[in-house]
Amino acid sequence: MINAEETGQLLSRTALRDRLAFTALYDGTSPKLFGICLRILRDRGRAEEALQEAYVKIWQRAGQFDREGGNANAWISAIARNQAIDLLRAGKKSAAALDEADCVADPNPSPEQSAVLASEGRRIDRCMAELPDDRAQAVRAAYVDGFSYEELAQRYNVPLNTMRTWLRRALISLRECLER
Amino acid sequence: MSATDDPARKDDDQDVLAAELALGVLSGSERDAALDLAGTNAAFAAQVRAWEDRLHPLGATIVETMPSATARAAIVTRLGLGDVPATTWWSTLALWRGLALASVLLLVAAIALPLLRTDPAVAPALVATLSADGSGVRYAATAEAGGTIVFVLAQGEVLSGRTHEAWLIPAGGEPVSLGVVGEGAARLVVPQHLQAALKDGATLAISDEPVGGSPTGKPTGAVLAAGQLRSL
Repeated sequence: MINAEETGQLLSRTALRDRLAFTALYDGTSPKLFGICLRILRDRGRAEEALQEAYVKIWQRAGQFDREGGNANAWISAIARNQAIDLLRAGKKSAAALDEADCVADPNPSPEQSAVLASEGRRIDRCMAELPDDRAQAVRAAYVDGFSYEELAQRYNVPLNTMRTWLRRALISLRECLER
Repeated sequence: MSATDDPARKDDDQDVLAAELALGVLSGSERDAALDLAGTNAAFAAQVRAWEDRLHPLGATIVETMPSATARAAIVTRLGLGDVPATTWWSTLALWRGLALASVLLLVAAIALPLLRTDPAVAPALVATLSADGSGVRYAATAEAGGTIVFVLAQGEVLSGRTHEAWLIPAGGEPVSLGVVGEGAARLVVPQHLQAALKDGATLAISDEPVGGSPTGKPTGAVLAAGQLRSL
């Protein structure tokens, strides 16, 4: 994906209805955003549906990012994730589909990916490492695979309220670690 | 003050809700309620944004996958962006890197020509390859009917904290700024009074400038690339 600065510049031009900038934004970011949707929805057709809705929102709200600032790639990724999760939650999940959750790829980074992440010194990875292993895994699985509290509780075989407490505490710890 | 009246505790609870929404673990009416709150409460929306930024690096390992051309076309149609060139693949940096400059020129001519705005009554399109001894920067430029020039960075890159600025130097005249160019493709408009200068032999140049372009209106940095427009 193009870097956040370039995405931000293309969003500014998109806010002014620069169609060339918007298509450049699409071309530079759609493989990543499609990857995000595909990981959550596990179906190309639905992922493309989510992707379409995401880019329509990006076109419509580009001016909003322009006013607020922040990380442009995080902004567009969040739009794509939210669209995918909306579609995921709206689809009726059968028990069979829920069982498939166990066959999903490991959300944890591979050794190669870990090496790349370590070399970039991402603070979140350092903070995640401070969490108990199973809590960190649950946070990652939630983010990358789009699992709900119910699905996580089933996957980790704990009561729903236990999973809620685990994640809330983990999120508070992450926030404190990142603010240090 | 009871625990439930403590405003600090309420803020904390709200921030945790924002985290849960950003993470995506809420479902059903809980998710709907949180989404509604984000739509109506600016402070909550800001908390959600902050969590999205915090969690974003967790997605670093998600693999990129090309969506289909149909998906792209559907978006273009839905937003009514119809007459943007159907494939801007020719403007992506990955394509231009690794091509010999002669191939770049041929490719620009072959691909860009059908996409250019052409008017048979107007002079034929002009192309230029811009380079300079000792400079790793190369551009391909195509002048279109209607007085615009498309610049494509064919080799090299824009250094952090600097920009590339494009200039038109009419025969025997002073450089006139066309605007900032860089990665990918940029279409710049030639000022009305200079359009007569857009002809065979006109010089285009790229200079190294600070962010935002030359502060003086004339090139202040080194000439990174230059070349003359030629008709095809």
